[in-house]
Amino acid sequence: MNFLEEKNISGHLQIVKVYKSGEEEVLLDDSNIIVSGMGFSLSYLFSESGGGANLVTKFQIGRFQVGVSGPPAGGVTSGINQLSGSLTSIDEYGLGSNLVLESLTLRLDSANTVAGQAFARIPASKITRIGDSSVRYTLVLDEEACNGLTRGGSDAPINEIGLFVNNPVGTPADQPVLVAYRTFSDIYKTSDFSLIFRWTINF
Amino acid sequence: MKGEVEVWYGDQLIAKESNMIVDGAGKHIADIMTAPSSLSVIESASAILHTSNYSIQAISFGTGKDAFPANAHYYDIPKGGRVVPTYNGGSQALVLVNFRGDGSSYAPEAGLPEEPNPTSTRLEMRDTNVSANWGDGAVSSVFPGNGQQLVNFMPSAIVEFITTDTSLSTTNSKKLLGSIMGAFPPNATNVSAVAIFPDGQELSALVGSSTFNTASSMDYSGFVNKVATAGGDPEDGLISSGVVPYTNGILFQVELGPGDLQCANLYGGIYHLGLWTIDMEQSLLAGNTPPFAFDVLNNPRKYRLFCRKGFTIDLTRNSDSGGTPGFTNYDPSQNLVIKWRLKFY
Repeated sequence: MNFLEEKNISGHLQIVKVYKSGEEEVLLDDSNIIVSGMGFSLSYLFSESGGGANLVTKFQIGRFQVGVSGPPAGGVTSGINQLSGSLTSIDEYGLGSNLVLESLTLRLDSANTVAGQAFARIPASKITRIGDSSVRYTLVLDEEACNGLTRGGSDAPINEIGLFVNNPVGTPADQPVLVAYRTFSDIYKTSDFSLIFRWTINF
Repeated sequence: MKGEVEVWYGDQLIAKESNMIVDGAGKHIADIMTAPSSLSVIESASAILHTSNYSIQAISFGTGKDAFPANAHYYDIPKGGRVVPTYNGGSQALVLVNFRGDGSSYAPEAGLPEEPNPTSTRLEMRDTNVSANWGDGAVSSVFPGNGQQLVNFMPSAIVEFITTDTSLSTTNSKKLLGSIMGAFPPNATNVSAVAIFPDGQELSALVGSSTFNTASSMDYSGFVNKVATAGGDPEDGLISSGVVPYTNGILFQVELGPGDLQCANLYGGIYHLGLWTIDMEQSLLAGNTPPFAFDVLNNPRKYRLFCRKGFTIDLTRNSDSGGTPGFTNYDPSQNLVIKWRLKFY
């Protein structure tokens, strides 16, 4: 129950390292930050002004990105609208992984976009209603995903992740919008383990 | 998310206060996020995914609990008997109210509205049954409200139609039923408001026009339909703006005409406002298939409360002006304008 007049959307992220032996290690269990893209997306839905986005699926959280440059230089605020250093190509996510990957244009706000961004889809089977107003997104970077990342000739750890709404503005090709973000301690991803991100959003 | 309600009467700002986003809003957005995308390939079910089913689609008005067994809702034998000889003829519907004093500014008995509660699923969670017994049962059990379960307001304009082929279809029954249940007039000339004073004297006046029933935008249980997006006339029903740039805000607007105010005043006043989305699950469970076309008499839309606003003042209050009684004194050129801004951030 919320006794405030406002309603604040919140989120919680748990990151689990799973070794091939089945052993699990919890790396992070903490709240995330909901960014302004959530309001941006919901305002397009509730005003029914999403242009071609007349399907509610366009307003669902359906994609994610991971990055190697978190946290942002300006600090983690609700004003950020993209990862600091998202993986630059589908290849970096790992062609041998089970991820469904796409190259799309990222929407920053009503006027600005960034073309050629790599996104991973969140399968419908990994989106679970766990309460009246809570939805859990389970993101899996399997053993073959995001290995051997480098920047400037050195190994690069993943340290940020974001959830994206599919296409609130309703452009012909999806233009995802960042809605939730979290940085975490460096993880050098190898083929020895998978990473599972259990991300719960409370609406 | 947060919201703010402004209420204007002409150029007078009556109220400007924050609303309460209720828990149903969170439930609604979770519904949005988990709507099965696979339905898009099933022709008969794909309309379930249309965004119009998930945006704000209605506004409703409510009063305090104590208003329902009182005011023009109140029924007793003498009041019923008064209808038959005096107002039985003609096609006019009737609003009959007992004045407590000799003043002619009607201050309805409504009590305070229910306290703000984020778990609310209706405007007034307490018992709002009309207490008058009609034959075998309470009147409100004859026509239970849609979505709100308990009767809120019901347009007297349509009582003639909904009683057709029922035991209540005789002229006397219709007039009595309409006078007890209704709260919004059909148009400018079809309703007489009659005040009965303690000394037995009566004062009658024609009720002004209703914006909603003129536009057929209010269903029988008082939900005013959203009639336009990014444009439209707020006299016709609820309208919404597009996204206000850089604020992620949306403006919802509606206007109540003089007749709506006059009638609502006599039935207990307006102390509650609510914005509603369509409750997809309940609409489907009721056997309806999207797209849910709004219908005044048989509305397939079941609603879920998204946000609410309660007031400690009656938005329909009036006062005498010289020798002109207050309840007949609504300016025919002034509407009550409700501007509701929701901001998503």
